[in-house]
Amino acid sequence: MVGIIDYGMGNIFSIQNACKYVDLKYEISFNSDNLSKYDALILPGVGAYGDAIKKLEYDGFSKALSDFKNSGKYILGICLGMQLFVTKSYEFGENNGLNFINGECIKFPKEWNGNKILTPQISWNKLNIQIDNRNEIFEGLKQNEFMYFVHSYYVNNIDKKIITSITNYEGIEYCSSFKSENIFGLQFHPEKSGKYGLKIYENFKKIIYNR
Amino acid sequence: MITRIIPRLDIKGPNLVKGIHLEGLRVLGKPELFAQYYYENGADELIYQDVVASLYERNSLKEIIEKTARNIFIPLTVGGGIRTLEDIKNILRFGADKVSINTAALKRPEFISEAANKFGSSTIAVAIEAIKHSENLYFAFMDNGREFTGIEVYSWAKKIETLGAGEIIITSVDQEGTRKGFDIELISNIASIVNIPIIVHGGLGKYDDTLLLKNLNIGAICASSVFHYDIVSKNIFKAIDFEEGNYDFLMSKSFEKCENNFSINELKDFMSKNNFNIRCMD
Repeated sequence: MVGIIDYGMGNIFSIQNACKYVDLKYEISFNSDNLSKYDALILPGVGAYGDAIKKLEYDGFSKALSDFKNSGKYILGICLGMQLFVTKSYEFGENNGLNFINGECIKFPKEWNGNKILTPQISWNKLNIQIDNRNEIFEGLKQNEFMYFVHSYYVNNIDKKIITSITNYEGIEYCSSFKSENIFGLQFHPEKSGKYGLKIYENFKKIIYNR
Repeated sequence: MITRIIPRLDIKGPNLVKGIHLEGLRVLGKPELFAQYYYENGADELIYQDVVASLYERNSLKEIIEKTARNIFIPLTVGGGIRTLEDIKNILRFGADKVSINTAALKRPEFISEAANKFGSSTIAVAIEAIKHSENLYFAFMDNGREFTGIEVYSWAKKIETLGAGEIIITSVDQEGTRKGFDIELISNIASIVNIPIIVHGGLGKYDDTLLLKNLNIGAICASSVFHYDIVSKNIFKAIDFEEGNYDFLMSKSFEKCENNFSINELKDFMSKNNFNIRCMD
């Protein structure tokens, strides 16, 4: 059983639908007391970084997630969920994250090489899968597979050794996914990315149960 | 940037409908069947618009959204009759990913920032129904182009961005359903004013219409007639039963005279060959 953390930030219904589709048993977890019963966790998130981290703190999830991480079981962070894993973010001031991974979140610039950059990026975009760091989460995906992205901030200053894909938005190349030990981060929404997005859910299920 | 292609499904009760200038509705079939077909055949997102919700104050989309969200794994935006934060919460709970707001935003613009603060900017799209008044002067309308507001479109677009919406869906009511091409003046001006993605809607009739959008930095092209009639005229769904609505048009087979329809993938092939960045499926 996988726990989907519901801390009031964002839309978990499409994540549930994706889990159902690949037959990954899940439960919505509103409560940080009992996370150890889950085989893995999914940390979703849409909205502002500062609000999200405050909610996680308030609900006791920050500590519980850290304990879960130390137990060695897998945690998958999606979109803002991925960003919360890093050290800090500059979204509306400076906010500290869960600090599982060294890095920071910065905003797409308004302009790049003289071209206007639209934010948020609301679009499909390609995954340049990093061959050296290839792992099972992208099993069955071809190079430059399209995924659906919605974000204004991205993670930066990440150890290259953990970057599993790079994406180019209007000339800006950034880390669109990482894996560090038992932590997976995906900047895009696999649950909104068609059959190859569902493939990622299927892969995550395999990773959890075939280890 | 990738230009998304988005079919818009106008919904009345249980049916997919289509009109001209947002009026004169014809029943085309079951929206969830069309949605599934679009998902499997190249759509980058879907838009559901409940075309009578804000007029008759009803929200009948729940069942259709739930059926769709269970099987379709691309983003779904739902609009029509959204007036409160509670409405948004419910629509997201049924399985939509984003909502589109028009009338409620025009009546009370702060609703945009309240919604964006609560659900995140990227969840909130604001729809503008623009009607041309004179050279470079457009007004925003409410209730599917029925009600004049006196609000000028360009300053409204800027305000929508400032209030925190994530996207703007710009419908040219003059072009909508006519297949006479996009209103390029309207689109290019809005694109140059705002820094959030815009979805352009109204007028797509032939492949070449897209070429004029080439360097305008738009986020997505939205269309309905050409895609819906492509499906209808190919008889892709054999068994169609209707629960209500005027389907004389469909039964009369007069749609067979509607020529020059095309599928999303055919449009994408064309655009891709003309150097648009497009998500092509294998």
